[in-house]
Amino acid sequence: MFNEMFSYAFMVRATIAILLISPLFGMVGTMIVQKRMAYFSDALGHSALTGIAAGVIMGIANTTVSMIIFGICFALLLNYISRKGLSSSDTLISVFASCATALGLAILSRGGSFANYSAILVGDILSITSAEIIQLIVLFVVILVFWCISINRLTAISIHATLAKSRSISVRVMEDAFAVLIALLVMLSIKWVGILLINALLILPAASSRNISENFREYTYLSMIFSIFSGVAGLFVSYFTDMATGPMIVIIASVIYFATYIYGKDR
Amino acid sequence: MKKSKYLFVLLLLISISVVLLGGTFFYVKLNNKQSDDSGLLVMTSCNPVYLATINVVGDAEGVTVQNLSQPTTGCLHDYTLTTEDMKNLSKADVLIVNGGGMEGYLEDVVEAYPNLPIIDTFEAVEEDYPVIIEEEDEEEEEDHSHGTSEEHHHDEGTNSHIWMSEEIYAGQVQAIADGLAALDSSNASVYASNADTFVSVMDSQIDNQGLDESLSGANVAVLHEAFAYTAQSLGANIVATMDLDEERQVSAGEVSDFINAINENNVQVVFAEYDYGHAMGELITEQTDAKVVYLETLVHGDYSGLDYITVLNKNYAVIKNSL
Repeated sequence: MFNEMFSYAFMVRATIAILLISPLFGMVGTMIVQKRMAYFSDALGHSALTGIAAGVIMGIANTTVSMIIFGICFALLLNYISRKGLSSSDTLISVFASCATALGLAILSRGGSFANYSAILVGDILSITSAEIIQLIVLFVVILVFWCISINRLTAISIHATLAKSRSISVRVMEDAFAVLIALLVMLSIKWVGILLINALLILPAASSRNISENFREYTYLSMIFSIFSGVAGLFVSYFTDMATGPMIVIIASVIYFATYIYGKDR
Repeated sequence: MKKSKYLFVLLLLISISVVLLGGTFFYVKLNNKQSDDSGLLVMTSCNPVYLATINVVGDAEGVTVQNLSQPTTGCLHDYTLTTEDMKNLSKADVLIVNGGGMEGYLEDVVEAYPNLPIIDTFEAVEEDYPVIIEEEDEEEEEDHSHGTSEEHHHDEGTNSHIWMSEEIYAGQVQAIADGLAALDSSNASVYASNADTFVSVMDSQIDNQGLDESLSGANVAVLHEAFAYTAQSLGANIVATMDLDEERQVSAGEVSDFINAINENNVQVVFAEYDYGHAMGELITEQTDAKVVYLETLVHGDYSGLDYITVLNKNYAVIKNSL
């Protein structure tokens, strides 16, 4: 059964892609949940549409490039506006996300052509190419290096920003660098995961791990284990049952969340 | 405490694995389709092409025709391939497509299976048959110069729903027979004679009920690009087109232009697809004197044998009854 599965090149590529993306989601998701940035990453996912629209308007053939540039600018802008503190951050993120999504939809649906871009809503991991896997490997290395260097500082900021500042940690630089990192991860994986589900994959494994973890190390490792397990199991089930991969991964991740929630509550 | 937690995680993951493996195993057992690996496996991209191909292949020895899974809603442009499709394509000897930008996933297939021969029926008929090329305004043309071709589901403004014209469909049937004969010379004569038979059955059995006379030169409007070919087959003159699908967001200006065009040109009948054109159809019935008829595009559902002829006759009967 499994021999046949790996005789198809598209399944080998999809499995490699899942093994590269899912630990990153598990890892970065922990800090997103810790820093209460779930809404921020969701807004970034939705802004992918605007990134594509910007690429179409500027005549950029590879819209992934315009998506990444727009995503980074959008993330930094959200951080900048939030720091100004003119309004509560969830309201600001909501306003900017709605505005960006509407702008993207308006441009892409001009002349009734939105159907051409609708595939990005649900994603398609099966059509990933070898060149795109190399992109994911580079992303994997970049995020891993950043994580190893910055995890202590990020944790300190997430616990108490003022205290972190007093210990010579540049809060602003670290927050911006982390926002750029989320933008890179979201924009480079959105084509395979889909706008509608990307936030679930970022949040669910970390939230499940948080239900039962007692320290940050455990929190990170369990989140990565849950994320990889959901990714691989979801891909296998979708292969044999002919259902879409993204939703299957999210269903499995949700089951893990509910189980850990019940276990964590009873402890 | 920690030990019991890790035991819980281990048990949780094992339980989920067991449930998934068991469920998947039974699902595979129940849905296991034994396919014959020997002989020629011909894959087709959509229902109209599938119907043409099964009629061309007939009972040719050692040839199996299989259709890719079909979308149950929407159009083919934005359909994404399933794992089952990818598995079938990896075993296929040839893929027959409608072409003209209709199959948005074709670039992915070419990339994944560079050695798979593809018979593009649109390419084969576009020179010699009346393929509709839509006029684009300058603004749209400028847009088309940007971005890649995959971002546009119709190549260069051509209307790729060519199967809706029985004349062009006959050309597609011929192109399929020629393409298969080139790949499988042992059955070449079978393909040629089956294609001739199918085209002559189409000629004799498709009955437009005199609509080519009653609607010849008459003004009509369409709410789906596919019906531009229905209008063309009947010699009607299209004065307004609005292509509706599940993701189409129509602006107020577009609706008023469409309604004005119907009123100003004294349009008698509007061709629409029920799923996506019903709401707009109601509005048009309310605002104009035109009659809205709901026709089939042959894209959704299970079809077999001579269903192409049945569906076209049904469409013509619906139009006839509305007049």
